[in-house]
This record gives sequence, structure tokens and C-alpha cells, in this order.
Amino acid sequence: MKKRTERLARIERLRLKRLRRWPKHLKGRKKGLERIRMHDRAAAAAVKSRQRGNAVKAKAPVVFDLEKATAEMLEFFHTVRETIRDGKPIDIDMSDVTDISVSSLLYLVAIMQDAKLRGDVMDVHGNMPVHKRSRDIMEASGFFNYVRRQSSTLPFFKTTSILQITSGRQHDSMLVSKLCAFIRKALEMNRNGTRYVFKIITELMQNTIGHAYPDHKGEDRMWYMSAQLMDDEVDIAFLDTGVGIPKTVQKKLKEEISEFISLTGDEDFLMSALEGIPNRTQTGKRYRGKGLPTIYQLYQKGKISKLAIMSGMGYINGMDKKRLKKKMFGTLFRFRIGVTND
Amino acid sequence: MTENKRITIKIAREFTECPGGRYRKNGPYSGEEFRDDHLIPKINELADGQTLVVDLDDGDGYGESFLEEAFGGLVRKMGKSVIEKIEIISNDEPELKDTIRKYMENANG
Repeated sequence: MKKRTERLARIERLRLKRLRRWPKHLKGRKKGLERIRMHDRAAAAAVKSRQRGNAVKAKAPVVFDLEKATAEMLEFFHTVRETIRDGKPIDIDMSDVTDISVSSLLYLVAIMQDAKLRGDVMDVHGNMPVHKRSRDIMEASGFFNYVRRQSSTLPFFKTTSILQITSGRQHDSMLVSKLCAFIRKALEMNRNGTRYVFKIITELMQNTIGHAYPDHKGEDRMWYMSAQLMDDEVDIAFLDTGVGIPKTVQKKLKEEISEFISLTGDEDFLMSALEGIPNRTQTGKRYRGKGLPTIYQLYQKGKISKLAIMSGMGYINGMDKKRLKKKMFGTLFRFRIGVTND
Repeated sequence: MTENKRITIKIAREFTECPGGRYRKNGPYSGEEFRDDHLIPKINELADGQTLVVDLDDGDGYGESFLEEAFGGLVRKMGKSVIEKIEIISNDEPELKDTIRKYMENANG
């Protein structure tokens, strides 16, 4: 009798040890999870309940948009990022969200992908907004291509107004071409209408590969992109989670002391990059970087609208610059193109 | 007779409709790839007095880094004399002709 009890206790200990690894929330672990679910649903629920009692609760802002609710959103993302980095379980509560932008989901995806690339053990749970339109946007954004859904009861929402979140490590001109085709279809414009978008995204990809991750290997140099039809314009977002433009600019400007000392905050360095920071050719002679200034000039000429850039502590919103209260890890570019931007 | 003095390369037809970034290591259809695999071989085929016409039309567009590496890099590799051998056609984006000209002229600094 005693032996049988010991054997059962040992089996139970082994089973619980296995269950402690659950839940892994990212893709690629589904098979193991399903097996546990089928055999040990009750035990899993008990373990889950015990484990998640200490989970950090991260309540998403009602307006889930980095531009409309900048401070709250950055605070929320900090909580998520730091909790994941500390290896603690986290519950992301999206239930009260009533206004959501795909570009902000982009950052959430990037935070989790970064942790995955670092090899962090993640214990992340979340729910969907109750608000139908926000839920539909979350469904259509491609968010669940990166984060595994536990419930499959919701019908998949299809829309032609969102280009799903895409990501990559290399310059992918075919994807840029696909983005342009999406815009042409959404706004009923011809190829001339999207040439500037092609140019801008091409430059941003090049910047990500060339400057955003100076200390990383190729496989970590990720960029993320999305597009969403909003108010007869297409809102385009491009994100990397690298060192940020201000840091890159500071490094380059240290050679140019006179220009360096006139700049004090990340917003100054960011604006400097848009205006053209000094650089050196392979022959050692000076020139000014062209990519970011070209993008800014296109905005100034009205070829694109609503340009917003967040990087480090710097924030450029059109012609204005300001300092963020919380750091943006990486760089988020957001702009719009409409039929009037010609 | 005049036509014999011009060899044309149309990027959208002979290379790609969606050009990429600067270097080959960054991904496909880069400026470096276009320069080394298409531009330079065509220039080397030119007889005395012949011009290479590069037609930029009918593509999705061009990034600055692609153009700088393709044309600025061409001058860095072959010297400033190559500028006289190149003619650009760009009806879709006429301003690219000046942009490329500047990249070639400033290629060494």
C-alpha cells in the first residue's frame, strides 16, 4: 500500500514538473500543450491557477494607439517588456480596448519576438478586446501569426483594409512591392502613386540592416511592417527594435564636436538625422546621410502625411519634436498616404 | 546609325521591377548586384564612342541606397570617365536623372 502511494506520488511529481513548463505561449509548442490538455485538463487547470496567481497584470490602455495615448502605451509596453525580461508570468488584459491600431500591435509582437530570439522563457497570457471592431482589427492584423491563440472558437475575420503584420531580417523588395500593391488597391491609384512609399520603406529596411543593430548578428536584425486603411488613407508603420536613431547619431556626431555640443536630447539627435547627419565616405571625405532626409523631405513636400517617428526618448510628430517620458526601444516610423498626396 | 552608338538596359525588364537595398548581402536585387552583374559587363562591352542607356521606368521605384551603390559605386570602381558613357532615362521620376548625376559626380567624396 505504501509502495503504491509512493509510486503515485512520484508519478504526480513528474506530471507536475512537466506541467510547470506550460504554458508556452508562442508558436511551435502546440503539440505538447495539446497532449497535456487532453490527458490532464483538471490537473493543468489547478497548476495553472497556482502558477498564474503571481502573474503580473498588464491592463492595456482603452485607446491602444501609440500616438493617441503615447504615455499610457509606453508605460504598458515597459511593463510587458520588463516582466518578460525578468522571466515572470504576465497576463495582458486587452478586454477594455475600444480603439486599436495595427502599428501598436506591431510593437507588442516585436517585444515578444525579441524575447523569443533571446531565448527567454515566456509565460504570457492575454485576452481579446470585448469591443467588436477592435477585436476584428486584432484578428485581421496578423497578430496571431506570431502569438498562438488558445481558443479557436472565434471565426477568422477577413478584411481588405489591413495588410497583415510582416517581418524580416533582410531587405525584401518583394514585400515592399506587395505593400505598394495593397495601397494601390485600397486607394485605387496607379503605380506612380506608390513610388514614394516604395522609396521610403526601401530606405527604412536599409537603415535597419545597416545601422539599427550594430552589435547584433544577422538573425537578430528584425524589422516589422504593417498597413491599415484609415479614413481614406493608408496608415503605414515600420518598426525595428535596434539601438534607436538617437544613439546611432550620437556615435557619429562625436567626431563632429561643434555639431554634437549643440544637441542635448534624443529628440534633437532624431531631428538631426532627418535633416542629414554628417558621415564619411570610404575615402574619408564628408557627406550627409541621404535616406532619412529624403523621407523627411517627402513629408515636407506633402507626398506623405502624418509622419510620426519615435526612437529612444525622441519623438518627431510632423514638424514638432519632443521628449518622451518613457523610452521607445527601437524606432517606429508611421506615416500616411492618400489620394491627395501627389 | 545613331542607334548603333547606344546600348540600352531596362532595369524593370532585365533586372527587376522592385529593386532592393545597397549591398548583395542585404538581400536580393541590390544596387551592388545590379552594378556588378549588369552595369559593368554592359559597359565593358561598349565600343569606342558608344553610350549605355539605363532605362529606369516601369518599376515600383528606387531607394537612394540602391541608386548610390549602383551608380556612385560604379564611379568608385571604374573612375569618373565612366560618367560620360552613361545616359539615364526616367520618365516616371524625372528627378532621378539629377540624383544619379550627383551620386556619380560626388562618388569619391
